[in-house]
Amino acid sequence: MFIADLHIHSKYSRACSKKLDLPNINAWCQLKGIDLVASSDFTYPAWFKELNSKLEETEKGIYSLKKEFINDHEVYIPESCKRPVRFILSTEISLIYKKNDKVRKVHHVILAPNLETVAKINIELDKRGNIRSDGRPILGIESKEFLKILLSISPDIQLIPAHVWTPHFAIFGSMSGFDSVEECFDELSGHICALETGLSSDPPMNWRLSKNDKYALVSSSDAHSPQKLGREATVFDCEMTYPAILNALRNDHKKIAGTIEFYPEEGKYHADGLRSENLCLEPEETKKYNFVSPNTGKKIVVGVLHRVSDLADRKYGDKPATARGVWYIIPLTEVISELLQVGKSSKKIDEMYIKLLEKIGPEFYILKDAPVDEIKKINGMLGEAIDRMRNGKTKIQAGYDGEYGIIKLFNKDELTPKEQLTFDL
Amino acid sequence: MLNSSQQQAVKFTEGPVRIIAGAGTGKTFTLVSRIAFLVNEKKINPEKILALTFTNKAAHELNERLIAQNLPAVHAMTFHSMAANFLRRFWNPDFKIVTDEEKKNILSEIIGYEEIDNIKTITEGLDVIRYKEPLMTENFLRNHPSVTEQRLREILKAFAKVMNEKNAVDFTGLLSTLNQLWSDRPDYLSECRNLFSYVFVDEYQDVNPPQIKIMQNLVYEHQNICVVGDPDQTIYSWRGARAETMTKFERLYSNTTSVSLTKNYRNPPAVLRCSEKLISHNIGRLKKTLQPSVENARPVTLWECENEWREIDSILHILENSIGSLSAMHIADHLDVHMENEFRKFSDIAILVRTQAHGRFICQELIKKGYPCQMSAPDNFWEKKEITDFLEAADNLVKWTDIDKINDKFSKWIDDKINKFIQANNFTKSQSERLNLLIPYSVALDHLPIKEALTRLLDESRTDQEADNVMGSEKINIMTLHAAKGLEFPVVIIPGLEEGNLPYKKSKDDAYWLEEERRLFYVGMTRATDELHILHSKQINSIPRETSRFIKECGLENFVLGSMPEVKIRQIHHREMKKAQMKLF
Repeated sequence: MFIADLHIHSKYSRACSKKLDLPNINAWCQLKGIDLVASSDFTYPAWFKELNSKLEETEKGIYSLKKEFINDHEVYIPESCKRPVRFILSTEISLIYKKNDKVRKVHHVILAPNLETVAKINIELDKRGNIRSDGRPILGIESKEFLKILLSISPDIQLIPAHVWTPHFAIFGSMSGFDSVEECFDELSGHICALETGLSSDPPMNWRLSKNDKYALVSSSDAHSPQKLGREATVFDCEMTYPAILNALRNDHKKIAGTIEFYPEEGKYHADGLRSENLCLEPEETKKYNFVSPNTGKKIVVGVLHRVSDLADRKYGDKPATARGVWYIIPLTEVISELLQVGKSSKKIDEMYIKLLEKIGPEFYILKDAPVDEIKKINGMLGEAIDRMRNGKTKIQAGYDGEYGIIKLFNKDELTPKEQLTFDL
Repeated sequence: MLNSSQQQAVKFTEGPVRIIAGAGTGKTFTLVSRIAFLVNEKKINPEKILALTFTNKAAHELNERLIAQNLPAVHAMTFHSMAANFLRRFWNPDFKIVTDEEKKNILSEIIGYEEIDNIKTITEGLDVIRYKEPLMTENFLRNHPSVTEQRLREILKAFAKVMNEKNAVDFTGLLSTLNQLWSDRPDYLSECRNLFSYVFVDEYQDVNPPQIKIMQNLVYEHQNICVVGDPDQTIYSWRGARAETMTKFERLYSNTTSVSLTKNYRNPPAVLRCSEKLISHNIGRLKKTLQPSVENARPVTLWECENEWREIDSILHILENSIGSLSAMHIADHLDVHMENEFRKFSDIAILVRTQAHGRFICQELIKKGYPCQMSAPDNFWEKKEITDFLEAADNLVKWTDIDKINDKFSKWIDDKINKFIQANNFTKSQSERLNLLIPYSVALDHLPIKEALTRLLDESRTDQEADNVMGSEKINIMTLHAAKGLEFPVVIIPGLEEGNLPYKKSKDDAYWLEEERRLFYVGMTRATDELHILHSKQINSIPRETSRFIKECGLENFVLGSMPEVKIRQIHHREMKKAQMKLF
């Protein structure tokens, strides 16, 4: 089994950390416990140049950072985390075009079998649009046309619709998306084999549409900074080669053990509501109120959950036979933040984070696999926190109308008062 | 459904007919309906009908419409292709037509070294004297004191000799050769006359003297000529067209029936108010007033910008409000959710400029922001100087070094050479990025030995298709006002309304050319089917600029002033402050 993050960005994408270069990505994946990570942004000329000169193919279609660059990173990697990291050629593109009288804005992830194929993709896309100013290029090409271009370059290229339920820029997005894969890709729909759940949805939300049962669900971080790598990921149970991964996505979904997921409730547009009125609603309530606030008559902002339930034909909780595993996680820094009762960007958290990694292992191991007893030996409260997280004992306040949701593991009174807190390891 | 004046235009089938068709009045629709009427009602053989256009694109579109009407046998073509067809049939079956580039090369070998800088004027002059219109020649020579008629005639003689040796004809030569042939061989002329019994000319306001003569000759016997045009859209005077051509039609053809189409189906009323008021400043034009029929209360927006950079910011703001966020979620969260209109697609938007240089500047800035856009003149990757220089250097390197001993893959070798090339030269970021784009091309050739791979890369650089020919992708259109003729877009943005730019500096002191500039702006404004934005800068390159007189002529009361939200203005101030500070230290 290996953990893969198939969708991230490099320093060349807009609004992304300048630290996202190959050596730093390679280093942070070790801290996080990611085995296979997206090359990202392969259409951007300067980044392609870097990929071409700094990566070498180690397994079929799978690349490693060349030895001479491996130590060019800026973070400390504890011995307990050191591990080989592999790269898969993957990028994201943004398509904006009109179909059936409506402008659509859709993001897709593309996986490519090797650098030679990527080179061909870049040559074709450069003829058609602007790939020279953003790592995630914006093209005025219809999804179907775009897929056609890719398939004519190589049948081994795979397109995966990205973060499918995000209101903007997603295939099922409420603002500028479609109601089905078929509406987007027409006769080429058969070439779509997987959907990326994105931060705004989890597998149970996706299971509510029986017509999507045929797609594998994958999860990725869409990270814009090294710290966010692997905040969602996919666990594969196959050989780590491009053909094996492609086979898992296309034919044998059982080779995907499952996905590691964020709580979708944390998203800014999960539930319906109105921020100005502290009004947070379930989709059914919004319908009952006829989409306007019962207090002021203002239009209610509809969230992702509502969009899903509009297209759904199953109840929440129904699980199709094709369903794969789901691990919910809360990033370790956020768990520490709750325990220490300090802000998410506090320096204390970073120190604690590295100490824990040193003692136990990479973040995913701590969150997902390490025996609770082992963690409790190091810190009782942390062990309890991880145990609650793994068993879904969380207190959730869903996000709505641009307000982030809040996920807590403890009641206020369960936590040691801040002034008495000693959190020695 | 035809309206009453359109019906009139369709039903007067015999004798000379002039249809004065204002912008957006259904000109092509009327023209096609008239042809259909001739064939279906009057039972005219479609093969005896000829419809002439100016551009290949217009001919192509007309053909498509005719095919849709089940009239594929009608001949629709450009003046030049008609002339070429006649010449091949009656004069010389295998002459070659030289391109502008070839013509330039031929001319530069004929003219003296000291005349090279003047080659554009000489080329124009050669066309003018071939029109054989003494007044036009006189006018041209007065405006271009750097050439004399005698010198032009000498060059023309030498040029004709070369063309003869090469068995070639240039574009203007097609028309003058045909006129010459007809006057030498009346039997050929009469054979040509018998080919067509009804002749149509689209965009008649753009015809030049040899074309007028060809038409007169061709329809001499039956006089069944129908011309369609809008004198207010004469913007090709530099190619020999004249604004009065439409007026003079009546003098060339007695018993002309004249019909005016004035109901406008394209532009919002506010756009028409501006453009009609503007064009009324042209003296001696054929008066016509367009009636709006589109229901659209949207006003025309005028953006007064501090300088050329603020003009770019305003354009970006307009684009944001049309397209919404391009890819960033955090922007989409506040922008896309609160959009006033539905999202536009990229190709809904046209930015119309007076000069190519202004267009390139805007294109470059939009590309930096990630927008896909295209200039009407293609940005050919392989012709960029840094690319050709690099490839030439690499080619030389292969010749002078023992290349077989190098074991590297081709792409690594190229990568290395590009790095050195970039280091050795002072390239801009976009030049370096373009050089880096050679790497994907070289990776595709990695299976070959370096020497062969380089040969293949060089071949590719010479035969690669133009980016503009690739279909299936949409971009924001950036084009000159001239190139926008005949097109329409939901969103039209016209920047650069400064004296010296529009009206252009060379034209603003000459009564005729000033009116031509006014027509040019008129054409630009009437391209808008929904939104029209007009921009001007108070300073360019830190030099104060006067607002174009055309703005006032549109009637200031016809504009609303565009403004950006406070937040955005603050962001821009902040950015400018930072830039200024950077310069200081």
